[in-house]
Amino acid sequence: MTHSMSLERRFWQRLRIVLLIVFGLAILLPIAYVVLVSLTPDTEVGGGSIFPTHIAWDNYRLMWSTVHLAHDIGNSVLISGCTGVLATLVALLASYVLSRFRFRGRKPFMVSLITMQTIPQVMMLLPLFVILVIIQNALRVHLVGQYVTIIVTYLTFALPFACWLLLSYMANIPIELEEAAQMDGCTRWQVLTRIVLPLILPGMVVTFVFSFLLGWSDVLFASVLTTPSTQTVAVGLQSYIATGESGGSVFWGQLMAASLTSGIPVVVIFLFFQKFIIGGLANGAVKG
Amino acid sequence: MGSPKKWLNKKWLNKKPLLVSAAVLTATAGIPFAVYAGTPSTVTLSVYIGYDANNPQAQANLYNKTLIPLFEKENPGIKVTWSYYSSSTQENTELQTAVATHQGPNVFELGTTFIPTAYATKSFHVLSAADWKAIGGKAKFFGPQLTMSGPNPNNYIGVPEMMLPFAMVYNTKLLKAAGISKPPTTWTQFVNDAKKMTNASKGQWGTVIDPEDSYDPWKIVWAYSKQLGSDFLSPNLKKATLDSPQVVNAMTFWFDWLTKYKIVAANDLTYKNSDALQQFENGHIGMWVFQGPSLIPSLNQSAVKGEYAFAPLPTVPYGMTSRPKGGTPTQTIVSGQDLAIPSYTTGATYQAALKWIKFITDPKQQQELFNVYGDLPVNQQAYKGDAALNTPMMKAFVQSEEHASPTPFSGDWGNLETIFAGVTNKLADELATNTFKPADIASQLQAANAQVQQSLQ
Amino acid sequence: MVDQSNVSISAQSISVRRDRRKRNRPPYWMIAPAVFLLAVIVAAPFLVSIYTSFTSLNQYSIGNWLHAPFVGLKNYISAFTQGSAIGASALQSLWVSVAFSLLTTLCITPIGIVAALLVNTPFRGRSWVRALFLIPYVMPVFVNAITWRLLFMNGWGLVDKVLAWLHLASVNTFWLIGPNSFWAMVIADVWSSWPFIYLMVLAGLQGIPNDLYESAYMDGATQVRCFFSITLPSLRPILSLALLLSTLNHFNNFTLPFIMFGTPPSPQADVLPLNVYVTSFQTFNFGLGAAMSLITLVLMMIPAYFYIRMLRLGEATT
Repeated sequence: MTHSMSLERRFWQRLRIVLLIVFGLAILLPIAYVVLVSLTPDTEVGGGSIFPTHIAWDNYRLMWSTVHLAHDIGNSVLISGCTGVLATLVALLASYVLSRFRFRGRKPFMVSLITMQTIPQVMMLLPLFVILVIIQNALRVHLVGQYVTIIVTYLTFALPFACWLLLSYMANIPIELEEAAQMDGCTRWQVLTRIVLPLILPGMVVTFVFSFLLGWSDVLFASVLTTPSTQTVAVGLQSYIATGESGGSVFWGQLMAASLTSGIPVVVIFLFFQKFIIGGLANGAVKG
Repeated sequence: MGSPKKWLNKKWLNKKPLLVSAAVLTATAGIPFAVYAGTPSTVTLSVYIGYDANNPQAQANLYNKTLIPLFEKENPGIKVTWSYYSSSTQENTELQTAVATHQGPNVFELGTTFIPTAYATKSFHVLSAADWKAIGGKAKFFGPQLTMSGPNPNNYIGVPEMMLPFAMVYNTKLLKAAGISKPPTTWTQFVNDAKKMTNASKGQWGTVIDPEDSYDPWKIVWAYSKQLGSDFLSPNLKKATLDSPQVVNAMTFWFDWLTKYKIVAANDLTYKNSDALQQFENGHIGMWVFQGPSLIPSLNQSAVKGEYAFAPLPTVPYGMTSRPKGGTPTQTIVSGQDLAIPSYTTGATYQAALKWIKFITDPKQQQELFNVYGDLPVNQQAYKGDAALNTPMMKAFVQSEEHASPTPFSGDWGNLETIFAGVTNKLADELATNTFKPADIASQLQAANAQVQQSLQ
Repeated sequence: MVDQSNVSISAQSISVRRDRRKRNRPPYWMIAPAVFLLAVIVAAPFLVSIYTSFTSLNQYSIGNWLHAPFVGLKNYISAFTQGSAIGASALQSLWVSVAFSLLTTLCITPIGIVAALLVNTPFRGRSWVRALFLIPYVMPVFVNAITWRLLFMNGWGLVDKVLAWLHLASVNTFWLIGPNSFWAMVIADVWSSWPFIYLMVLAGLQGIPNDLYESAYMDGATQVRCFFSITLPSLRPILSLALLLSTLNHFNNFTLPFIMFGTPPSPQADVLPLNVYVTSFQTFNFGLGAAMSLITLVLMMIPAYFYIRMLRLGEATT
């Protein structure tokens, strides 16, 4: 019996190695090809051979001036970062109230949270703009094209998922702790900051990362709600493709170099928080 | 809705630490950051233009270092800010949002074929006689260019800024190698010459098509239809005529290049303009129709530098010795960029906008624009004494401009363009997957016609 | 998700209940920011677009959109009946979207589970592999879309080259137009979204107590048997949640096809969000676009209904 067990174990170990290789190739091959194209001179992209005759490091130099790459990545970091932080805080407060209190309107609110996730975003684009301008006129402030506006928009889109995530974490924090604190004369705010906050921190990291990603990936809203000085990298890269429209050739090499570069900040953030994310998801969302 | 100027003066946003850091960020990146502060006596004018991704640095320099400082010096009390759209989709959405909300840029740079749509929104200033006087009079512009400014001379909303007459670009080396002495003037010659230049085994083709492009196909089919004596819309703009025999014939002829004459590669079916350009630049293409001077900077950086030339489009349909009755020698559409002022721009800002437009359309600035974009000046005076504008190549374009026909001035033209692009896309799909039947051209055009007709009513 | 604060109230004495109720009056200010933001940024525009769907808002009326002519249900009828010369008709798009979201979800589920099982038990270099697995998901969607556009380029893209090299297909196989474009979209989407399931499953696996497996091994159960009788049942709650979320997300995926194909796309890849975009912003038919979105919304409510039931909205569960 022990003999057959070890045989079986060996089989699974082999299978794991094979599968790991398959997965690795499937992930890395497309990326490797992109790296290759990013180093190919523009005149050779689309030519007969996969490998370029010489390596065009120039693509990595020129991309900084063809589009305002550094500036746009800076904007993306700023906008997505603020979105992540603010969405997490707003959702923390909301989910705390939702999980610890019963009140009228609680259920409709939670239903609408989920409904909102199903609204096609394309549909919101023009109406949202109209609403923003109405506010703009009423309050005499400038909103369209400002960082504040795009951040608030993303933050709101991130809220339903953020609330849902944090709600499930909340459910896992023993209420007795809070009750004891209240007995000792802590206010609600103190309970929240001293008892709940430290316990829910992993959940907040997960919420932050997902909200951050939402802001980083959006193309649709950024193209309308930002101006060239506030535009995100997702919009900035569009002008590479648009060159084709206006009678120029697409700089494939530069486009790929710029795409890779713009992906790096998110990869770094995600990998940095990786342990939190898996551990956090495990402790919160799953046990509900 | 309040006066659009007021919110420009609000400063409170600058107090936010967020905005300060943003400003620092943008400042370090060297991008002009619009600061919405100013004294009441200053008029701030915001202009909205297309992004020149071919040479963004030159464009930024042109506006930041040449045009705006000079204009602000000549017109104290006016501050000019500019921003850009990166793609035609962004141009579209920005126009829509500005029109829907009565807020946005004070001067729009719009493509000429987009002017009818802008006119349909009734949200742009119709220029009065006094306005034209302020701009410097209609007479300074190329006549055909003004035909796209409005439905009739009393209702112009657009002021020509740059023009882009189209022509045929050809590879002089390939033409010579095939023993062709001069570019074709009839479509029969065009097909024969293209056959001579085609050498599939070497990846060399007589010409190229780009059916996946949103703009090229309709231009070619439209010009050919005009030569046959038809149009996409009836003269009173009430009836769609995309299913007329002439348009079907024109579309069939275009796809025949692939199916019948084999003068284009099957690969072309997925092409957009940029893909076709890439092929031309790599020296694989003999002739490429309906291309403009804005291609020149790109061609000059490519493998065909010094080996290309422009010629007018052939004007006699295939298999014919002369144009049929009603046919016009259409060589190009009236094309280019116009400037238009949305109606929410009023008072002193409106006057400032007119001043800016006059400034931009004066000879000196027109030459500056030409140097950066390669698009031709619309001001006839700009050609005097400028050597770069009097080369044979440029003269070919100016001649072509004289045979330019305006596209129908209908608010549904933009819609029609999109629908037409859908037809060429679908036909290319069918060809690519071998499900194409010749009758599909007529039936697809009929479906498109019905849809255009629906929006016309 | 248990709402513990209220579970035991009924058992308390009246005086304590009063006391608790006073203490338990919700601090509304904490939820106010979320409510305010959702009302302004989501609810208000949503109401505007419901209104729009009953009007013929187009280029002629957009300048004065409040006075766009009211047309009743015309837009809804057109959405269901009108063919489209541009891309697909609304009805066709609907099927493309349904097929796309179900198919991709179906594909990524086994991939995600296998990937999670692979890295669940420790081995050397595991943290590297875990990091690697996250990369497709972490890359921004627009980068993935550009990448796959390049890979699927006709004639010179890597996919065609490899297929031709293996003699499986001609080097001129069209991926970005025609019927293949649907598959190109599915492949690109599967590649970039499977780590979502992987993440959820990996998290779920942490919650399965080890002694369950140990006693199963004692009884001589095989790995396969353990997977089907222990792992999968334990994963059920998280997995069904992940599947629903993934279906919803794929249904609303605009960026990927928008960048992969441009507009208008081939009818076979004309997903509903893209169709709404072209209808609204490129042909200026905002009324019809809004009607199409609302139809989408109603359809999305079907999976959302199950989603809501599953979450039980934080009600006490027994």
